[in-house]
Amino acid sequence: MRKKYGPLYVTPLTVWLAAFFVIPISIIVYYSFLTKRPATGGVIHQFSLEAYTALINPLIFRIALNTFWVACVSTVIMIALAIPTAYYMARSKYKNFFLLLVIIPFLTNFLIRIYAWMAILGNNGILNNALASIGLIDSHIQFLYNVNAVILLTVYTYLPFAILPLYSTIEKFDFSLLEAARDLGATKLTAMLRILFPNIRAGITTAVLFTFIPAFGNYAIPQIIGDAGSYMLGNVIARELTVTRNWPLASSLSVVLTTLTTLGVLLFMRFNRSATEGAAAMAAAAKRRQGMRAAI
Amino acid sequence: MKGSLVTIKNVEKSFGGFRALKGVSLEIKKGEFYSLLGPSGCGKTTLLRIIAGFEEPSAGAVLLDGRDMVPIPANRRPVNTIFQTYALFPHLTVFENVAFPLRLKKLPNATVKDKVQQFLELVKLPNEGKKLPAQLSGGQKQRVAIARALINEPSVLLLDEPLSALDAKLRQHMLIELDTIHDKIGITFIYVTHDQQEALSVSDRVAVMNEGEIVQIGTPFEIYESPTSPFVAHFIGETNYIIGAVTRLIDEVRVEIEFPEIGAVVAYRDKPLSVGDSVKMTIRPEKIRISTELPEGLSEKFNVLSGNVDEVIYSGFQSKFFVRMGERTMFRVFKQHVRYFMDEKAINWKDQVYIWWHYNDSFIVEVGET
Amino acid sequence: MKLDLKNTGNKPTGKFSLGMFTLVICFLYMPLMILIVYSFNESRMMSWSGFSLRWYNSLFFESKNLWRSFGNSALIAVTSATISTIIGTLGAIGLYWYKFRFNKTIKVAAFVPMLIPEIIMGVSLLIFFAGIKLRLSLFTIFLAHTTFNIPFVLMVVMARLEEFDFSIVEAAYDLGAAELQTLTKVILPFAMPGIISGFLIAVTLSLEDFVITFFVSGPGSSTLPLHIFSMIRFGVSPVINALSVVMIAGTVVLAVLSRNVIKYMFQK
Repeated sequence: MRKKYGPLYVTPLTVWLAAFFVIPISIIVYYSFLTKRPATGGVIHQFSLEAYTALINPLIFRIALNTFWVACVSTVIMIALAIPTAYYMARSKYKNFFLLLVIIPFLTNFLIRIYAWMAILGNNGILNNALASIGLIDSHIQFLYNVNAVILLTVYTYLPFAILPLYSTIEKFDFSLLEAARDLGATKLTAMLRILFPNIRAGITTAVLFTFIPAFGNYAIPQIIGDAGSYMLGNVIARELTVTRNWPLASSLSVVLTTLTTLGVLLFMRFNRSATEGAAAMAAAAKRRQGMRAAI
Repeated sequence: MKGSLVTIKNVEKSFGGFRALKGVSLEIKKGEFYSLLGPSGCGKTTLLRIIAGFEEPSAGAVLLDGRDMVPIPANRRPVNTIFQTYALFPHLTVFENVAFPLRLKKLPNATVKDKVQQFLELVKLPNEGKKLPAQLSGGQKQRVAIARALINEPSVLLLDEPLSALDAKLRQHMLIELDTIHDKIGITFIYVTHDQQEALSVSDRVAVMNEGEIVQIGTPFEIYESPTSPFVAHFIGETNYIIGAVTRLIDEVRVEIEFPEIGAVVAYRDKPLSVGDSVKMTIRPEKIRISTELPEGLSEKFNVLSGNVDEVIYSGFQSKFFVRMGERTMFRVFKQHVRYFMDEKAINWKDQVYIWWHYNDSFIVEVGET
Repeated sequence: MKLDLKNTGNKPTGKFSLGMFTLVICFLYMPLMILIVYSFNESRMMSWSGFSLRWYNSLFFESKNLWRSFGNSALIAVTSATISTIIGTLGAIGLYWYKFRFNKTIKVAAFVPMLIPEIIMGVSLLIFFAGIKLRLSLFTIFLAHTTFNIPFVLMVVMARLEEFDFSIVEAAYDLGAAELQTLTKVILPFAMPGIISGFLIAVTLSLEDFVITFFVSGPGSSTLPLHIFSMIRFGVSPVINALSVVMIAGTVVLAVLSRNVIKYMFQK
């Protein structure tokens, strides 16, 4: 009885995702092995590895390195901020209110949040105006348009992605274990490192994945408040696609970006020896996060 | 105080506006099995947590071997705890759980191994070291928690309702085992429980607590046989209360009390009383004998009453009888069945019965105004 | 006893975590607060020169293009959220309820779009639309938004269904309900909070998306985020400050409102 209509329910889902996700992704992979049409852009349907050999180029290498740097540094900062924050929230009486407090900026439009920092750090922004008015500087200081600004904004944008899964894991943690550790002679710090951390590893994994992936695929942030030196792989893809119109190169870069992300994720999960645990927690945390987002 | 290991002096604890402890004082001797007994919310767990160092008292002192413990953090107190939920570290094996305190001290591996093995043997789990806590039964988890708490060789072991998560049979068994371990290692145990059976069967002394105060301290025998307040009498075991008025002070140890619906009864006199005092008398159900016939040749030291059986609850080793003496007075009487079919004539519902008890067993727990 | 302790101010956290928490909250809110304050600034510059509502005036009465973009955004949000909610809900019921071949594969594959970088989806859709010669317009944005919304709806509805006690369905069958009746009378009402959550998430995601929309939008199909993007490229403008305040306020109101509505409708 329960077999009859099952596939019927799933058909729209399958068809839609096949048409607008699987096929487009496959096309990218296919295009990455084609030849660039010289004048107008687009592709000629002729096999070529040119798009991949073109990647072996110091500029691309430097940008890839920068992408890794930005993604790693911002992930580390986010996790370092998120663990104590989530811990405090999870143990507080006002946890529901705090959760709302963390989610509201997260629901605020992404570009508005970037803009807010432009208003603060821009050449005519508040900080420069303030410094000038107390006579500390004569001309403005360029706070924006460099790699540090990109990192700051990445942290600002994706920090809730780190806090929420950590919060939901820490909330389930049995805090009497910390008391037990203290009772048995551990200092507060040792208790945290040896008892709390191993037990919230799944949450940490999830938080790392949820922050590293968007940070690595960053496009808008370096586009708006970065400079040539802080460009990331996402920006190169966009340029090749829309400006230079070298579609095979844009495609091969996309393939590389996706592969690197996936590899990074797999490597991290392997290193963390909790792939299944992490994935399970990710699903749970994501569910919760989304549920929360909706519930609010 | 000489001979006492743990001294609690006027300890107060408030949470917000709620006074969890209202000036508690205790002396616990070295090697004692000491129980804090009381209903939930009475402050016993708070007191235990103060001794462990998880809470700071709002006022008062906690001394261990004469040393003030209050400023010393939990991790540096020579006190270890067995938690209600065991609090075993789920990511560590049984071995590493037990080894945890030794690892913190960075002891050499060989020493750790020997010592952990020794303690796993003490709790009869020599072969479970490699398992994770999730793979153990409740009783086994309990044993691991005991081994882990003891391995630091604390001078006091705190037990916070350690058996409450186990089923009744296992609880009995673990209780005996705890007692054996206590005898073997000889350190002080402070045992928090709401179960009077547990407290009575293993403790050297019991402190009964209610609403943040200690109401009575004594050996299990004293607590059971001579409760000093209606609360203790009621909380420990089952009992009968009746309220009456003193009519005659017979001698140094006996007093005659007149009860409505019952008449005059002689009770043990252990407090100053005067004629006309309104008193609350208690008599334990198992101290009362019951029969359909009045036994011959009872000494005058026995009180004899008669009533009708309102209800009989047969529970194997004994029967409980509810004997109605009048409109508002009912006695609970327990009768142990030694050889049921050889006992005198069976007592049934609605039978008229006689009940009697030695005056020594009934005594006054509260003296009110006239 | 335990509960007593929890509720009566036992201090479980140290100064460090409190400090970090305060720092993070300030970090998250400080920029937004500054926007709010400066939206009432008389001057065009980011230095205070007096209170004024002129930027709100110019936002509401002199920003035609902005409001046209907002209209586009709202249209796409509602349509793509509706379609993705229908597809996602059906999919969740199908995947959760029925066991068939590829069930597991689809379950896993359906979540992949959530995990790959946004830009990849934008790029692949752009190339795909170009390949099938579909002109970039509001319609392509709708297709793209529906695609990234489906996995989220699927996830939320499946999460809800997982709480379902299957014996209820058996009871429905036992009481003589046909399959369709079971669906409409038992399963859908139970899944409704999940479905509504999924819909709201889809609306939010759609209203907010910039990266994917950037690639699949064509001339004349600007959405609000695209419009904001073009505005902020020219630097700080007090109109954006005012717009930010309206959007932050909208977010807070919607957040609190929808939480209360859901609470009210589905009190557990």
